[in-house]
Amino acid sequence: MVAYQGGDFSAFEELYRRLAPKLRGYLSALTWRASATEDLLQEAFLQMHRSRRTYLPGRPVTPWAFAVARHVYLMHRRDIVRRSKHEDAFGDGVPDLPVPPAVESLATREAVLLALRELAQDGREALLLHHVWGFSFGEIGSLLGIREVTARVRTHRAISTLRKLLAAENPRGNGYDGR
Amino acid sequence: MTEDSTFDKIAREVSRDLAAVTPLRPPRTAALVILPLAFLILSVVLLVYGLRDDAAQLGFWPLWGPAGLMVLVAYVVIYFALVQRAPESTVSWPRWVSLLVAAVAIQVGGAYLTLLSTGTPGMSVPLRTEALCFARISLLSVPTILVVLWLLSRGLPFRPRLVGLLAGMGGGFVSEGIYRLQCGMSHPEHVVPWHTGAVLVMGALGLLAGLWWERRMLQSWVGGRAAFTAR
Repeated sequence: MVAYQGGDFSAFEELYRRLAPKLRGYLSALTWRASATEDLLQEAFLQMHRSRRTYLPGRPVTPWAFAVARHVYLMHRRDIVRRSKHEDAFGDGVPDLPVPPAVESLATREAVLLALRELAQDGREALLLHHVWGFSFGEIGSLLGIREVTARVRTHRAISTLRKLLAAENPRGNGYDGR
Repeated sequence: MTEDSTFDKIAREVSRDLAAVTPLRPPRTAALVILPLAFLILSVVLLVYGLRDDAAQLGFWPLWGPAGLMVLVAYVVIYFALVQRAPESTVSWPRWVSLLVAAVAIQVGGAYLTLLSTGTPGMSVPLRTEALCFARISLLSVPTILVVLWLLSRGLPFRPRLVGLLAGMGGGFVSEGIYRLQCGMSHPEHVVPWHTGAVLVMGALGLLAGLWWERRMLQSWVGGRAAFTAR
């Protein structure tokens, strides 16, 4: 990232290679629209480029990149609200999201993704940030503007709801012990 | 749109402007900008208005201590605003609300301690004299607020309204603390409406500036997106 700030194009390529898959998943989780994700991913990288000075050397790059992507998503959402476009919350099927390892043994990938869709967005976001992309609760709190303990509670509630949904879907559960 | 075409489009845009950039200063360093600004306000207060009439009676610490404390409080408030220049650093509402409540408590409490060390001055001053405090504190806070807003505009804060509020109140606290060197009225009946009131009004103006900035940011984002898509 520091090399990119210094004007090194190959550093940008490396950054894109490492971050694009994660950001694509994150934006999919936020928008739940495959068609919007690729546009927003472009926007996120352009915003990262325009705001590259806001990265403070020495800090981890991933939370910074996720925060910029979140900023782009919020702009997109505000733009939709401003133009009073009432889009369906879930437009075009299930996005290609990674499945949280904490529940992957409980059901099929499709069932987990459909259950994720049922979660409230704030809970889903916290859950995925922690269980899929490995953010600490402190980092999630800082990214979402909430307290660390709130991030922890949101994540635990979301995972608990997800387990209940999957148990209801598949009562015998593939190894799910009902806790 | 394929993944490759996404990369190609971004890469073209990035390669157009790949000038080296200097990273933003860490917030604790950037917030030190308050020191020269405080010195500027102090110079104006001393040269234009002079020290309060009972300065000699008050002594060094009761006179300068609360002013210095308020500059420190303002530093912390402005630090909290500047922390949020980096997009991944968003402060939770319990933290910023506690900070502002504590800052107002320190401001009013400091004035009350000064009152205790001087005895109760009469409050029979004309309204115009009291309103002058409000006007001067507000006016003196403008340079700090503008500088902090400029520093914020170089970043990417998630909540422009909140950082605007913090910038406004931070600027207000600096000028209030220093202006206290001139104002001889330390009674809460005067301090709360005319001094704290000025700080709150500057905070509200900062919030409005943040609101305007938020709208402008959205318009510029929408415009940039349309231009990019058209290329």
